[in-house]
Amino acid sequence: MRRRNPRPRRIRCQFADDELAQLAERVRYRGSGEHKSHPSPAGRPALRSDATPCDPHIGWTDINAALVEGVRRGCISEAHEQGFPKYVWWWLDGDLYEARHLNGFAGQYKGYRLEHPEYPRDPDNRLPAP
Amino acid sequence: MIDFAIDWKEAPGVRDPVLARTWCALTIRIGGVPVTRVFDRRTKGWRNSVYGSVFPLCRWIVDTLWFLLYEPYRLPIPYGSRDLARNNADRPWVHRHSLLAAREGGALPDLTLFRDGDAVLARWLRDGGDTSHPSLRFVQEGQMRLSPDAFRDSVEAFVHTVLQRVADLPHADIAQLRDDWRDLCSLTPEETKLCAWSARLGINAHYDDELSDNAAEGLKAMIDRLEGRMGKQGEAPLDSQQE
Repeated sequence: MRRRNPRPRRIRCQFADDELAQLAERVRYRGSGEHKSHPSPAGRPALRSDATPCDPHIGWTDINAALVEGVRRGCISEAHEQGFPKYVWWWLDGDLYEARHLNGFAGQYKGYRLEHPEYPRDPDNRLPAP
Repeated sequence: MIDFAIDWKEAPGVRDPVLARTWCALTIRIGGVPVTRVFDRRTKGWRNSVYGSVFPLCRWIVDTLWFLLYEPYRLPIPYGSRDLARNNADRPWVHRHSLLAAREGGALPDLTLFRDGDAVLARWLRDGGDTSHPSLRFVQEGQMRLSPDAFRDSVEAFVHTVLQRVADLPHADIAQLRDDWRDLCSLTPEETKLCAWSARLGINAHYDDELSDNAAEGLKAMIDRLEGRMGKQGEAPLDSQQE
């Protein structure tokens, strides 16, 4: 029986603060069409999708700021992809959001709001209360 | 009987290649009941399937299969996953048993799967007002006892279908899923026993930070002693369908 790789959806940060600050400068929210029910920089919605749609009232820059803050605070997954955390978590308007790295687009993420059953494991209590 | 019916779809606008390749209309039926039946406020209509990628669900199933097959529900009252997960202490159980934990931004019903005596119990709840999706509501509610053997067969068919769909796509997530599944299908009887007993305790034996090599050796010795005692009492040492 082989041992498995780190769980993707668990908060575990192995970077120092200055490394996190550098990493935070290189991440960017890009979005993806499956979460869009309205025209956006991610493109026009052209897909049959039941993915949780982005709230059109939440601005692109707000989502990006939440992503950057999540990285800066080390609320990142132990699993990485193309040198970036595969998942990042942070609060936005009192809700917990998950940013997922877009494979093939190094440093770029899509994001969606989580419900309690989807909250990540957080053994080191890095994620603050909302 | 649980059945995962997949109708593959094109996915314009989905940037991630794995999610795009595994985009589909998914219908999950349990005993013939479409537990993925939804009311869509956008179209003001009902349908039996949901649109999205099945890759996160497949990944979750491979990761939690032992828990679905062997770990029971632990509370005296049957809570829904959303209520249960509000309690930090109970959320890990929800992670291991509720499809809501496998959504990754997609839409899946509040369907929990867990061991109940000699069966896998499937229990699904309709959505209330506390769901994150503004326009979609899962409308079915019920429960059914499933044969563990039949459940495992259905899950195997589902995983094979997904792996076939992405067979020619070079991607680390796919390679990892394929390796984990191959490993799971080729365990020795002793390893299978260890995984099953660990799962009953809420431990995933595939991760060494949950079950270290030392702890695994200790658990194996305990299993042998337990089986010896249970055998002397004339009881089946383990559930019949796996070991």
